[in-house]
Amino acid sequence: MRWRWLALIASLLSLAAFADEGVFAHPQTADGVRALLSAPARELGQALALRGRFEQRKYLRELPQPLRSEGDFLFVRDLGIIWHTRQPLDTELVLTATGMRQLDGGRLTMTVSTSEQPALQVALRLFMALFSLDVAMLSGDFKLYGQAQEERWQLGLRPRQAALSQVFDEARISGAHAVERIELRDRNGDRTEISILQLQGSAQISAEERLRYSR
Amino acid sequence: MLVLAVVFGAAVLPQIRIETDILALLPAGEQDAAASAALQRYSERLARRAVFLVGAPEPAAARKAAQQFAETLRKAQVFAEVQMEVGAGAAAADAVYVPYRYRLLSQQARERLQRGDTAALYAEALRAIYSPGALPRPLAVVEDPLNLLGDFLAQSHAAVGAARLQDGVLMVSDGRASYVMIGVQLAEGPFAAATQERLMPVIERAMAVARAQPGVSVIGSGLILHAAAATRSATREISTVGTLSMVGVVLMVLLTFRSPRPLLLSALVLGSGALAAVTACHFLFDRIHMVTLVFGTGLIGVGIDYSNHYLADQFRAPERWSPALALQHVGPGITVGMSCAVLGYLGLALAPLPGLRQMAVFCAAGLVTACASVLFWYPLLARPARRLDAPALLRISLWFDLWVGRVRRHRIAPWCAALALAAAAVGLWRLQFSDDLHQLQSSPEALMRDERALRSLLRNTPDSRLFLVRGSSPAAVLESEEALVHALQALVDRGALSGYQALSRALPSPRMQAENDRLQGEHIYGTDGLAPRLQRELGFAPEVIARERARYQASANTPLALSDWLQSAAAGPYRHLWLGPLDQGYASVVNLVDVTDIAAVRAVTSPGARYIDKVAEISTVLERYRVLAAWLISATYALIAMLLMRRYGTITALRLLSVPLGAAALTLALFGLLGISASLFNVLALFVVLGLGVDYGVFLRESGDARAATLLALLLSTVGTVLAYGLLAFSATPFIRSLGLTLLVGISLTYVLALLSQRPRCELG
Repeated sequence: MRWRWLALIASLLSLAAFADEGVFAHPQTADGVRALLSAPARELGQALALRGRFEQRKYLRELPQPLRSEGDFLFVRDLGIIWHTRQPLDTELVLTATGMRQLDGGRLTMTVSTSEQPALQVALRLFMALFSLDVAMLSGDFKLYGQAQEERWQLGLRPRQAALSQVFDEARISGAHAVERIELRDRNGDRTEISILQLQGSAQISAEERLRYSR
Repeated sequence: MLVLAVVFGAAVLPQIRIETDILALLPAGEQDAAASAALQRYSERLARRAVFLVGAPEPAAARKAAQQFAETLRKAQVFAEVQMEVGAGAAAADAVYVPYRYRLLSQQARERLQRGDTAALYAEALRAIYSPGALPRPLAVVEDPLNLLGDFLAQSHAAVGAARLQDGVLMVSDGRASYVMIGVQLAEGPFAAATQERLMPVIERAMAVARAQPGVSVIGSGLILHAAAATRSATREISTVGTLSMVGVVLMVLLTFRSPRPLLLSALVLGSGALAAVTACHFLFDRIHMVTLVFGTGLIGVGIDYSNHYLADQFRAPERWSPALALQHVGPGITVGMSCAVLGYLGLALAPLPGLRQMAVFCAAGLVTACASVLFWYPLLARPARRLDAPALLRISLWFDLWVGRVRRHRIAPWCAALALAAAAVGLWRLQFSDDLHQLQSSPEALMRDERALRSLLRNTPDSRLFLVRGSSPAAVLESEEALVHALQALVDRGALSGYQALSRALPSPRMQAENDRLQGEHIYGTDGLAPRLQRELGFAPEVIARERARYQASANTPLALSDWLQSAAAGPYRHLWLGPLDQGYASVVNLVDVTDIAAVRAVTSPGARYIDKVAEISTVLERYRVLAAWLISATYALIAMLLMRRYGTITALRLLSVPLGAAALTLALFGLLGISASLFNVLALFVVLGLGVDYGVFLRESGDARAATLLALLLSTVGTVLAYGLLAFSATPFIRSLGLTLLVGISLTYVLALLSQRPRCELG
């Protein structure tokens, strides 16, 4: 019991001391991060498919108000991610191991293969790892930080190498039973906040969903 | 002799340089000197590169093993560069472009602006801002709302294939293991034997240490590995062939003459021949090729001939024989024989193939010296053998001669001859030619497996086919490249090849940069340009928008110059493609990746650019020289025929020539029947058959009453030669194998044909 109190006081002190740093004051190993995550979150990470809605706020440098957008997404392990922005524009990004497709208003407007654009592969790997909380994969690319309080946990990621910071400079992910909020800071000063709503995991996907990847 | 030894010891031995680059045997194959110099520079650059993939099931273990591997290589301090960590360069590379960003556009963006298709650009930019953006955005939205720089960089980043940056190193995975890539730069070319001796132990130690760890594997690729393997197999062959033919020669001499003195004399002859051969090559050519040495090992069997002829002469008249008398008797025969053999070899030298010239010089110098030392030393040093009771070999050769004579007189002889002729005709008709590069070299299977593994792991590794682009200035080269790349891109879209590497993708020509600048001024940063419109729609303040427009107007109006770019981090993956200033103008290389439709790529024409297919070119060169060698051998036959006619008259001359001619035809016919395809190298071996064939005929012809002695010498010579060259038929180098096989069959046939054609006078009458 006494030990717990000491730990709490210590963490409060460190929080005060590194108020700016936040979660980044707590470096973690991969195992440390696994221990932080609540059991349901770890379980959700094992699911074959994740579905949910998102709300995104983009804080652009020198822009007084954030750009808001929302939509839904589908994440299927081994298949990829479909990120469908519905408001204020209808844009669907299908990110798979072979490349990226963009559909605007249901119409295919762009295809990029990973062989011509290796950065895509980095992005795909990254988002797959973020959603499934694949700590082993994340720890390969990022320095890990993390802290937890009761069920709630917060992770920090910083790219180990400059090349990845082209995608983002710093990421904070927080949640309890599942990922609830993702914040990405770009090196150029822009910042993206994504709230994940109504996240559901399942062990199977419908034929219709599978079709969306191969279209 | 002494002088030769001194020259060899003092001037040749300390400076001797052994060449192992198999392509050094071939002519440049290029009429255009400047193009040839440019390609030479490029291939030298490639030859100095090596890549190692250190793999393990777990990325962390692979990384640790790779780190250790790189450390071992670095510590030895024999490499110019050992590169494992690459991550830091990427951001620095992108930063190079930022000041010039208004002069840079991706091909797609430029084409859209040229078409005036601004609506699509605008819509896409807006979508990209709202969606989470999978592509990197090097500048903030306020600075570059259309992400034109990001778009350009995405296109310019070298197609690195499957390798990706992970934790600061390039990694690639095949599902079972992760590999860390280590790039190595050699300080010098990999083909000098001395370089290989210095570098290979370090590489092998590093590999052994890595492989000793459980689960760790190493895949290596680089010319240094192949060149070292070639040197090793050649060294092994020289020592086996050398040792075996030495043993054969020693046994033969001991069995025949039963005294150590002939052995010592033979050693003297062979030793001076070898010294002279190496010395001549050293002074005439810059370096001696490994292959010359392998081929030259066969000289042991030929050089010993003269010694044998001389000593075998005592079997003619054992009681009265003296070394001085023998000179009168066999001297002319040896000299004529040697001249014909040397003529045969010099025929090789007429072909403008540097490798053949060297072999020809090596053999000619060796033979002349061997013959001269026999004629000079033997009258002084040789002694009659103490016991001479027709040794076994003499009896064998006499019996063989008798048997050949009997076959010749037998009534089925004409039928046999007819059958042989028919078989020869069928064989020659079926003979096929192959001029493949793989005739020249084949690396050990383990190395080839590594190369294939590396290719399939990394993908996007360039082909041996490429375009050479030349121009009068760096700007002209870049402009030519842009035209070429435009054509190539169309082929990539059609699937004729999977990609290309061109530096103009990362550095547009000054003209292209000016065009990009103009397009951005007109469509992007004008009063009602795309950038201000987008910024207004997003809600940026008017003064921010005005500031960004002012920034464009104040931007540098000098293009990103090639010289600055080459110095910068941005040039990293492309630097080796720039060949720099040549004697005339400048040049660069555009690499091709996985060409599937060769005809379509070859058909691409673009001013200043030339398609180069080194492999196909070498095959063409080999074919051209095969045809040339065939003409040369005909000419040599004619020359020798004239020589022989002057001395022996037409009938005898033709009879003498029928020996090598028949042997050559039958050898080729045999290859035709067996389905072995012939190449330049088989034709070359026929030169040696010609030389020896005339040799044998002349010896028998000149022997007169000393037929027994000559028969013995001939048998000794045939056994020696077949032993020496026959062993080459087991070489790991395909063309040495061709030479060996042709000589093995050709010389054996020559022996039989010589016995058949040159019968004693009494028998003919």
